[in-house]
Amino acid sequence: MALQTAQPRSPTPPALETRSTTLLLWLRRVGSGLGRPLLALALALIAGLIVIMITASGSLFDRFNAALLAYGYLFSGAFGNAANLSFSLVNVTPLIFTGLSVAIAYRARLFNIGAEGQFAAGAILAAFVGMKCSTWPGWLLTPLMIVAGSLAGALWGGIVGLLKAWRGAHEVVTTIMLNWIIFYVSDWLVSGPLQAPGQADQTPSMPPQTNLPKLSVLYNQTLGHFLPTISQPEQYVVDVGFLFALVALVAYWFLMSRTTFGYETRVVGENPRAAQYAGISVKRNVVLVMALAGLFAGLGGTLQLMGQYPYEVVGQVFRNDTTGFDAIGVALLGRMTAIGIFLGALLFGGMRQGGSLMQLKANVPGDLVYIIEALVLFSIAVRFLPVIRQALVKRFSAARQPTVVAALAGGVVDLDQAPANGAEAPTMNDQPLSESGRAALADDGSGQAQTPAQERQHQQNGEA
Amino acid sequence: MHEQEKTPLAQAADPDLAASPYAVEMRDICKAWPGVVANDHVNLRVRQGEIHALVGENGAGKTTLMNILYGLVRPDSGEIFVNGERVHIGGPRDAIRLHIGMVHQHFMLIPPLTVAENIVLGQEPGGPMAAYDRRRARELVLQLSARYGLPIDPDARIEKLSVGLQQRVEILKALYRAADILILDEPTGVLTPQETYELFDVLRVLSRQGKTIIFITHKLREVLDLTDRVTVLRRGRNVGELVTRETNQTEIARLMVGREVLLRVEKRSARPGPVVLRVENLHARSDRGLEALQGIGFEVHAGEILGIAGVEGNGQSELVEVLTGMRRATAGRMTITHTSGEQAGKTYDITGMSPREVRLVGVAHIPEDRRGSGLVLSDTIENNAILGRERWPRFAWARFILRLREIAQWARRLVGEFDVRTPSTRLPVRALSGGNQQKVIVAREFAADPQLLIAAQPTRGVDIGAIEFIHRRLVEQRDAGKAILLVSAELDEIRSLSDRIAVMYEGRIVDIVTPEASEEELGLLMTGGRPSEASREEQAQATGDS
Repeated sequence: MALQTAQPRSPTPPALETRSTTLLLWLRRVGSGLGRPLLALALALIAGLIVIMITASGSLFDRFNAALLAYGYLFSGAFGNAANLSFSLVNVTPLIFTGLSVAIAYRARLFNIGAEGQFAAGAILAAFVGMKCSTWPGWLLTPLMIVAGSLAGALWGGIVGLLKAWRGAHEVVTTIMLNWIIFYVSDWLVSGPLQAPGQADQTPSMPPQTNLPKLSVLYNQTLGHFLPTISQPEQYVVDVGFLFALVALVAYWFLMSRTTFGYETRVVGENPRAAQYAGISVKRNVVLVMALAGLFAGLGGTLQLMGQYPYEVVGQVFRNDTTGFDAIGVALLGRMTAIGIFLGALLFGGMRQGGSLMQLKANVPGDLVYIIEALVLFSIAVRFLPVIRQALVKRFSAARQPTVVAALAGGVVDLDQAPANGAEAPTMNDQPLSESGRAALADDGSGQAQTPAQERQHQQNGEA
Repeated sequence: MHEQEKTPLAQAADPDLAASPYAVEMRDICKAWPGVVANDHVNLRVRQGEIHALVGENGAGKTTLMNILYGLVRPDSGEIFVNGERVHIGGPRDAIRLHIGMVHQHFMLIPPLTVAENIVLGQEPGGPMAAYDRRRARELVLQLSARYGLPIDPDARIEKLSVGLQQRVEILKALYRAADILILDEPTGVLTPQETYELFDVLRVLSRQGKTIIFITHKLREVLDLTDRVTVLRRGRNVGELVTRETNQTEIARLMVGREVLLRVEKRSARPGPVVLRVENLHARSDRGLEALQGIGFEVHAGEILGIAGVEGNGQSELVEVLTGMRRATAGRMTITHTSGEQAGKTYDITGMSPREVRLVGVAHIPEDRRGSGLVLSDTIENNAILGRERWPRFAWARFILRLREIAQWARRLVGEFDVRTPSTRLPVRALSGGNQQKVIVAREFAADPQLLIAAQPTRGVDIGAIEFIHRRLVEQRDAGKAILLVSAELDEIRSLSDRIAVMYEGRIVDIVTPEASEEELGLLMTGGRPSEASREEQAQATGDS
C-alpha cells in the first residue's frame, strides 16, 4: 500500500521500485533545491535583458548586443579577475553572516528582519571596546572585540527571542523596532561619545593592531614561504573575515543537521505541538535561536568593522546599509542551506561589485543590479506566497463563471488521503519555504492551502 | 433552484432496478499517477435515493474516485453518467451544476463567520453587484434547515460550534447548492459516538427525501448500520458490490484487506502483576480554565490493559496530558514503579515532571492526534523515530551530536519490526499513509521498552489492516508485562482490548467495570448514570479520599 501511496503526482517521481531510492531522493532534493533558484535567476536575467534593450539605442540587434555586453561586464566585474573577485568577496562576507542569521531563525520559523540591527549592534560594541582599550595588545584586543561584537549581536537578537517567548510579541515587529533603536543609538554614539576628535559623525579608526590581515597578505606570510607568493598583495582587499564566514557556514550546517539542537529547532519550527509532546521547550529554543541569529549577524558586523577600510563606524552608515535586508534574499535564495547561502551571497555580493564595472564600461546604470536582485527575489517570493497565486486563480475562475462556489473549490482535495490522490505529496519537493505560505492560508498549518498541483488542476478545470 | 424528478426510494419495491437509471454510474474509470494506478477500471453504480457505502483501506482509491466524480481530478479514461445521462465533469463547477455536493473530511468553513454566511458564501443572495442581503441569507438558511430537518442557529459563529454541528453546516452548504447527490468523505472520523448517531439520523432523513448519498468510510459497523449497498475497493480495483443486508463485517473486511481479518482481538486473560502507575486524587484544568479533572484515582498493573471509556471531552485528553507531563496537575499525585529492567522496584513521582523526564522514567505515549503532535510530517521517518528521545545516549553523543548511523539503523529496525510500508526511511512521514504514519509512532513508543504505555486513540483514522496490527501489538506488550493505559472513543476497541474499563464522566471516573459489562451499561455510565454500589467503594479506595 504505502509503496503505492508514496507516489506523488510530481514531475519527477522517484522510482520507488528500485533499490536506489535513497540516491533518487537525494537527487530530487538537490534538483528541487537548485531548480527554483536557478529558474528565478534565469527569469531575472531575461527580464533585465529586456530592460537594457529598452534603454539602449540603435537597432534591435545593437540593443541585444549591448545587453549581452553589459552582462559580460557584470560578470567579469564580479569574478573576472582576482582583484575583482576579492572585491566581490568583501561584499560576500557580511552577506553570508547576515544570511546565516536569517536562515537559522527561519529554521525555527522566525522571520528575522533584524539582521541589520544585530549587525550594527555587533559593530558598535566592537568599536566601543576597540576605542576604550586601544592600547591593549592585538592578540588580546582582537579576540576581545570579536567576542564583544558577537555577544552584542546575540543580545540584540536574544531580546527578540525573549519578547517572543515571554510575551508572544511578533518577531517581525520587534526586530524592525530594534533595528531603529540601534540605528539611532549608533548615530548618537558616533556623533557623541565615540566621535573622533575633530571629525564629524565618525569614530576614530580602530587601533591598527586589531585590523584583520588581508587574505593575500596572510597567505604570503604563511604558505607564501613555501609556495609562490602573491605580488602586490594589497590590491586583493578581501580579509580573513571571509575565512570566518566559511567557518560559520560549516558551523551552521553542522549545528542544524548534526546536533540535537538543530533537530529540536526544526521540530519547534515545523510543529510546536510535537515539540511540546517531545518535551522540547519551545520558549527556550526560540530564545536560543534568536540569540544565535544575532550572534552570526553581530559577528558579521564586527568582522566588517575590523577587516575593511576605513576600520571605523561612520554616521548613519547602518540605516543606509542594506546588507541585513539583502540577507533575507540570500537566505531565501539559498533555501536556508549552508551551501545555498554561500551561493546566494556570492551572487548578490558579486553583482554589487560587477555593477560598477558594467556602469563604467557598458554605460548601463548600475541600478540594473538592483532590478535583477529584486526580480530574483520576486520570482522566489511568488513561490513563497502561494496565497498570491491562489488569489489569482480564484479571481480568474470567478470572473469566468460567477456562479462558481469559490469556497467549495477551495481546498477540496482531501489532504488526509494525500498519498492516494497525491495532492499533498508534491510538498516532498518543497523545502521549508512552502510551509509558511501554507500556514499563512490555513492558520493551523494543517495544509488546507492548495498545493501547486491542485492549482494546476483547477486551472485546467477552469479552461475546460 | 432546480426542479428535478425524484424517484421514490429506489430499493424498496423493485429488486430488479438495473433498468432504472442510476443516480451515479461511473464506468471503467482509470486514473494513474506517475508510478501508481489509483483507479483501475473502477465501476461504481449508485441508485437514486440510496445510501451507498464506498469502502476500502487507505490508498484503495476511494478518494480519487470521488474526486473524479466531483471534478477535482480528471480520469485518464472512463465514463460518468448522472441520472442516466453521460456527463463531462471538468471541475467542481460542473459537479455542482449536476447537483453533486461533497462534504470533505476537513471542513471548508470560515470560523469567524456565522453559519448563514458560511452556507451562502459564494452564492450570496443580493446579486453580484448589490450588497449582501443578510436577512435574506438568514431566511434561506432557516428554510433549508426546516426543509431537511437539520436544526441550526444561523447566527452562531462557526468557531463556537461543535464538530458535529460544523459538519451539519457543511451538509447544509451542499444542500444550499441544490445537491441531490451528496458525497461524504469519512464523515465520522471526527465525530463522537453521539454525533455519529445524529449524523446517521440526518442522512436517513435525507435519503428518505430522495437524496442519494455516497458515504466513504472504513468503519464496518457504520456500513452495516447505515447503508443500503456497498462498493468495496482494494488497490484501485473493484472487489465487490454488495447489498448491505446480505453481508456482514467479516465478508467486507475480507474483501477490503484481501485476506481473513480477525475483527475480534484474540487474547488470553490477563495476568496482572504489581502496580506500575498509581494516580491519586488528580486535579487539572482544561485550556479554558475549567476543572477538567476532578479527583481522578486509579491504578494500572503490569500486564494489564486499563481502558478509559467515555464520551470525548470528559477529561480523557487532559488526563493523558497530565500523565505525560504536557499539562500541569493542580493537585494530586502520580507515581511510576518499575517492575522490570535494571531499576525494578524503584518508584518515581512523576507529578510535575516535563514530558522529557516522564519519558525517561519509562512512560511511552501514543498521542491522540498523530498529525498534530505525534509526528513532524515534513521530517523524515528517521528523525521522527527519535522524536522525544533525541537526546538519549543511544542517539546522541553528549546529548548534543546526533549519531546519524545509529538513528538510521534504529529507524530501519522499527520500520522492519512494525511493518511500516515505505521504500526508504529517509522519506518524509507525510508521504506515508495514515496507517503507516501511526505505525511509526507505535513503533517508536513500543520499541523504547517502556514500563507504562499510554495509548490515546491508537487506531483513529487507521485502516483495518493497521488496526488489527496495532491491537495485536498492544496485547503482545501486555503479555510481555507492560502496563497499558488505553484511551479510546471507540467503545468496541475499549471492550475488546481492555482487562478493566474505567468510565470517565465530567472529569471523574464514575466506575471501573469488567469488559463483560454490556454496551448499555457502559453507555449509561458514559452519560453520567449511577455507578454500582460496590464499585463506588473501590473508586473511593483508589482515590484515597474515603
